[in-house]
Amino acid sequence: MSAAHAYATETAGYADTRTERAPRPTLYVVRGIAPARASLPFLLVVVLILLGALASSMILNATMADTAFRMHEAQIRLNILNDHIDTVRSQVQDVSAADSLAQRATALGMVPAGAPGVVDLTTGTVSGGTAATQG
Amino acid sequence: MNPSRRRVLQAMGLAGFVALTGRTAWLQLVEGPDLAERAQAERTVTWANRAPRGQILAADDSVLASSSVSYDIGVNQQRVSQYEHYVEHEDPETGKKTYELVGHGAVEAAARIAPLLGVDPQELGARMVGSEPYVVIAEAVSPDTWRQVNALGIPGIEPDQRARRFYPAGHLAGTVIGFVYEGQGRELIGGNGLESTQNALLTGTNGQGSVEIGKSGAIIPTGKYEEVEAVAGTSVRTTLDPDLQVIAQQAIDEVVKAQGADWGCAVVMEPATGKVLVLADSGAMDPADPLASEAGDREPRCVQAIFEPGSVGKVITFATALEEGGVTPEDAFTVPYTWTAPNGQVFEDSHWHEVQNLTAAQVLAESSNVGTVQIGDRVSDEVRHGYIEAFGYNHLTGIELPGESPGLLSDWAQWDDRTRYTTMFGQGVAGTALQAAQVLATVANKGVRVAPRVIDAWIAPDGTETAQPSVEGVRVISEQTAATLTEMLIGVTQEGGTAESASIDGYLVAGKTGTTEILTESGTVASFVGFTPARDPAIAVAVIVYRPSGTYGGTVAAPVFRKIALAAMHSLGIAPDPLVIAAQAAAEADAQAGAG
Repeated sequence: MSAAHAYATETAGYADTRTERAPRPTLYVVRGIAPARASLPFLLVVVLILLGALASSMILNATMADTAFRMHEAQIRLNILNDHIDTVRSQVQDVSAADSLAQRATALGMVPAGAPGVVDLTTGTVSGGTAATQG
Repeated sequence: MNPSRRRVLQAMGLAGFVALTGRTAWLQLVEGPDLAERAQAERTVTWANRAPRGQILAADDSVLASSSVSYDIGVNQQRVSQYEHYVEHEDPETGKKTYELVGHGAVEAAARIAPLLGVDPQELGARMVGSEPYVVIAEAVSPDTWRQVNALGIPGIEPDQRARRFYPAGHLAGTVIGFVYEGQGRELIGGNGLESTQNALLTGTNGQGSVEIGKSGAIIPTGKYEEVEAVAGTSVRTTLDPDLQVIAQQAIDEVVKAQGADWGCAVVMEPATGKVLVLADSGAMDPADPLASEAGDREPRCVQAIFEPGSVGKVITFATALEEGGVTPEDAFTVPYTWTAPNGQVFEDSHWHEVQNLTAAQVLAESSNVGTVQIGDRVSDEVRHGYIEAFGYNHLTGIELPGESPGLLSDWAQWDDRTRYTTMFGQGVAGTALQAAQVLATVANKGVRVAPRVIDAWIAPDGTETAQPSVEGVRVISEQTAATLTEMLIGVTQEGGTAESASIDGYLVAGKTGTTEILTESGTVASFVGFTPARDPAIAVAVIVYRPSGTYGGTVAAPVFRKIALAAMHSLGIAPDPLVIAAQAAAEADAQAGAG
């Protein structure tokens, strides 16, 4: 602005020295009119972003909390199942142990096999061999 | 406002601001990390991931020892006395709930818990009354049962979770398996048997974990979560055949009881591989409760207790004489009842008899001491000593069990006039039942000694198996000598031999009885060692009975041998030979055993 003013002054001075010429119209520096920006949309965007961030973080947190809760529940169920597996496995090992099987077989009336005998087909006799007996 | 007053206020304000800023900075920058850590520690729960101890398996992968979690249930007697049991009633019309008090105190608690534990409510109740803060009311309760008890919501009922060792097969091979005890931090430490020798491998590496939790116990999603998984211990698969082990343990327990003996043991091994199928000690302890057994019954006597092999030692003498002394089975010897050695020592047979002319094979079949010393005299002491050692005496077999004894054998140069002869019939030398089995296994395996092993493989937690490296056998006698000796040993179980009672219908048996007087106390050691089927051996067996009321190995140990060997033939699926019919004596021994 000061440059414009100086120019104007200078021009004026020039005009004074050449008075016989037709006076030139005075030039003014006109300030350009900046278009007024509406601040509302900008504010809205900011608010929306903020709200969005807030909401998404809340949703995210809620989801995570929900997942954590479900994990906790699943963990409890898993523990119960693992315990059950442990219990059942012990039971299976107990009943499948050789001495339990032997006892069970005895209880069912089974006896150890005896020594094999030989059937002589020509004479129809059995030689050797022992019958499977109790004990 | 007065300007000076304003200044003062400004200064105070500034000072306050600086103080707050400073304090905030201090909290954030200096104390911050520490405080944050403390807070985190408060909301962090940590746990130990206890590594399960490796299993001990039988040859068929059935479980002999395993670890699992169980609970001890304790009771706070003061708190349980305040228990009140309410039952909820809902009015079907109004839907209104009412609560009725049906019982209270220890009596009610016991009545509700007893059915779950399978115990008497009154006995249980008695243990719950008092003012003690902690009394254990049940031990080793399964996790399922504990959850049921816990679900009752009785105050003062507290769990104590423990990783326990379970032995599903009870007494089965108890002395081989050993036991565990709790060390620092309740870590399980092997105390005997395989649990002890394999302890380092069976023990895994503990892990640990931590997670941040909220007040409700729920995991904080953004919190720190760390977990180091535990690495389970390596499992050990033994070579033991569990079904045969049951039969052998029953047979040895029966004979020890019937004979009023101190103890007995039976060993079954595969001659070609050295795999021990059975290692049965009488009165074997239950690994779950070792203290219930006497100290001696907790040890694997088969590899620890030594005894003079007696006539079993004659097998070594004959092997040496056949290999080195130029003796053949047909060589004739004049065998009087008593015989005076060139050095003046006098020897006699166990039974009086007239002067006999016996072949070497007959000397072995009749187990004549006089004949044996004449045969043994053909070989130098140094050579015989070498063979006794080559058959495994005086050396550890290297079996994976603790406290194995190498036996006793003095240097041949130190043998006195008598010992040089007694070692020919198995006196003045001592070894374990496993070593006795090893002698016969060597003969059965065409003269090659294969060290006995009770571990088949090690199984890592990821399932990869490391098999027991196969050990190269050591040739002790030539194949020819082994075959000749086998035929002579078959003669022992035929009619006229000392071990007729060991013969089995369908299976040819080669073996030797042994009866030795115990030097340190009265009584004898009765033994039978043999292998079957004699010409294509699948098993070598040693049966030892220490201080039986019946004296002789033939009558005491041979029937046990038959019972075990027959079961082994059935279980290994070995077809009988129809040409082999057992000697009459076997039937008589059966009848005798039945009467006894």
